[in-house]
Amino acid sequence: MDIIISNGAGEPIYEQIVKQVKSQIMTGELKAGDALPSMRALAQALRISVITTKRAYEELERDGFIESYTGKGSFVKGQNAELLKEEYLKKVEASLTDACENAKRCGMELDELKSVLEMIWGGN
Amino acid sequence: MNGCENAIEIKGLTKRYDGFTLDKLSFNVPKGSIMGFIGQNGAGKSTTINTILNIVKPDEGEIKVMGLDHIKDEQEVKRNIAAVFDELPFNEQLNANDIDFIFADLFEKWDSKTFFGYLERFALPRKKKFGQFSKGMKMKLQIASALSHGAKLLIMDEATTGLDPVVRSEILDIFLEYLQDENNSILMSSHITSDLEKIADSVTFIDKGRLLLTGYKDDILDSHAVLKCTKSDFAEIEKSDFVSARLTDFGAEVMVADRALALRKYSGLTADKTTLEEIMLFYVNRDKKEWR
Amino acid sequence: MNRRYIAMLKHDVLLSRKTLICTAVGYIVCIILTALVFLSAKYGNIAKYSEGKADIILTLRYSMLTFAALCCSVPFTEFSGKNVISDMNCGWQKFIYTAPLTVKEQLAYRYGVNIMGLLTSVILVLPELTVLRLCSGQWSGKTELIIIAYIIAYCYIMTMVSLPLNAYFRSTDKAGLISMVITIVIAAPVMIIIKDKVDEMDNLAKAGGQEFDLNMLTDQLEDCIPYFAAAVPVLIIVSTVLSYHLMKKLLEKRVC
Repeated sequence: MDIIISNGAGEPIYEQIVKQVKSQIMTGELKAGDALPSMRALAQALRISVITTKRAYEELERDGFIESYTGKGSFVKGQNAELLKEEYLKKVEASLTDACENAKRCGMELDELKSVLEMIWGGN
Repeated sequence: MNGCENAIEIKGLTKRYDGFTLDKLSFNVPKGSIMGFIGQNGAGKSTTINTILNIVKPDEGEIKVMGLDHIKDEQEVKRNIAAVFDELPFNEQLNANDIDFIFADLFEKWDSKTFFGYLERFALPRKKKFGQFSKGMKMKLQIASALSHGAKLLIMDEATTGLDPVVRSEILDIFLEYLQDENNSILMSSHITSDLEKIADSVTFIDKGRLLLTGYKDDILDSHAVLKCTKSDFAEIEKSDFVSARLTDFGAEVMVADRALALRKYSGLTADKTTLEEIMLFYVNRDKKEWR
Repeated sequence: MNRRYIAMLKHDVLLSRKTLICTAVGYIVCIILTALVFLSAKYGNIAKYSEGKADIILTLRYSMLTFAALCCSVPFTEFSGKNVISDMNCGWQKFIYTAPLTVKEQLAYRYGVNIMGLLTSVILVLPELTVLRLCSGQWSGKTELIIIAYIIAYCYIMTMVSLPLNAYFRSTDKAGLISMVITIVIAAPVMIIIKDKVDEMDNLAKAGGQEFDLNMLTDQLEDCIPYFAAAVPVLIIVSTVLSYHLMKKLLEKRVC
């Protein structure tokens, strides 16, 4: 499991962890049943406070991505990855709807919109 | 001793000296965590630590270490803690072998294997006299001995002050390892906030014998912010909404303790992430004339 | 046996490694020398050549005995002197306050070691005395025994007096000075009496055309000896008790 933390980013560290774990679950890098490192081990490896990793794991558990068992550790949960992917799909649809509306308002053509989309996708 | 929440509980600790008073200090060190005890020189950190260790008797207040009273159950407490000071407290003519020889009988749970293991890891010679050790070596020696008798609580008084960054980093790694066992806790006093910035779980700020702040480090760092604005903007900020501010010819830097509130009330002002050092600065300088 | 006492003993011995070894060597050398000198005096060179032999032998006897007595006393004066000061200054005492060692245990060790030292001193002088007897054909007279007892008692009382002073002042100068003063104050009356008597004896002896001999002095002081014999144990006990109480107060106040 790769976690990269940026101190300079405005985002709190625990949120960065949550996001990265979620995306790894969705892309399938972390599969259902995979064991996550213990909160303490992760804190030691990243040289951050164990409170931070605890919060991250708690949020991941709240959102249904992982399950924690005392004495055993935390494991990736199966189904919700699908549900979240659906959620993200909905978000993508909503953003694209917005983009289309704005494009139409300023008189953009579909082809122009497509090339802007390609440029943005390529840039990330 | 099992099942207690806090490694250290301090309530209303008061100690009066000529010209300095430790005034009703209260804070807790949660079990399984590392607490950074931050303050200027002379703020009262060493006095507090010496009181926990019963080297100084408090005038008022109660201290519990791992659920036990620090005076009534002093021996039991001391069997389970280890103190690390800024200077090596061992006679200069002794060497590491001597320490192992003596401590095997001094501490019930002394483990020579663990001790020599750390010595090897730190590349410390066994037969060299301590008088010939460098500052970094002396500190590593202290830590090696502190970690070799099964102590559940490490209390460090300015232990990393005066060490170079490489050695400090090595030592901090050792502490993180120590904390992998969630029964272990660390109280670490320092005025070098950068060490604690990363690894502290909670922090307690003390200034002139009084408690300034105590809580989870993440919470404190997230809830504080430095607003950068013009002096006229600053004039609009209510006194109760900020900690202190530094005014220059070009503007104002304002430390707030409630970032969410500040962003709501004074939207449009830049709120920067802050550091423990800045927080300490702004709180400590509250009473200075050049600051507001 | 409480293991922590052993730990404290180990600490003291390790610190005084060099001194203890030198003292032991010095003691053995002293015994050997005594044997050689007196064998020589009886059978060897000194017997053949020396004039004024009696004087030399006398001086040698006393020097050897004094040296032996001092050797025996060194260990415990080291422990309670140099080591205590070193412990205070380097922070070892501070460290001990954080270890599971009670004030009672620390005191029991410190004073126990000193009392043991006193007893062992008395025992350790015996080999020297025996050798002296074997090689010179004479048992030590009352005078010599008194001198030995005096030296050992003086060292012990001085140790008792200086222990709390060393702990408080943490340096040899002030502490040493004060304990010197105190012990001399205690010893002064005895010194004065002896000085008077010596002068008296010397004058008498000169008048009678004889050489002054310390044994004459002892004979004169015959009646004083019981008082002396009683005073020494009393002083030993009193100094121990006072020292203990002072030290207890200091340790409870966490001096370090």
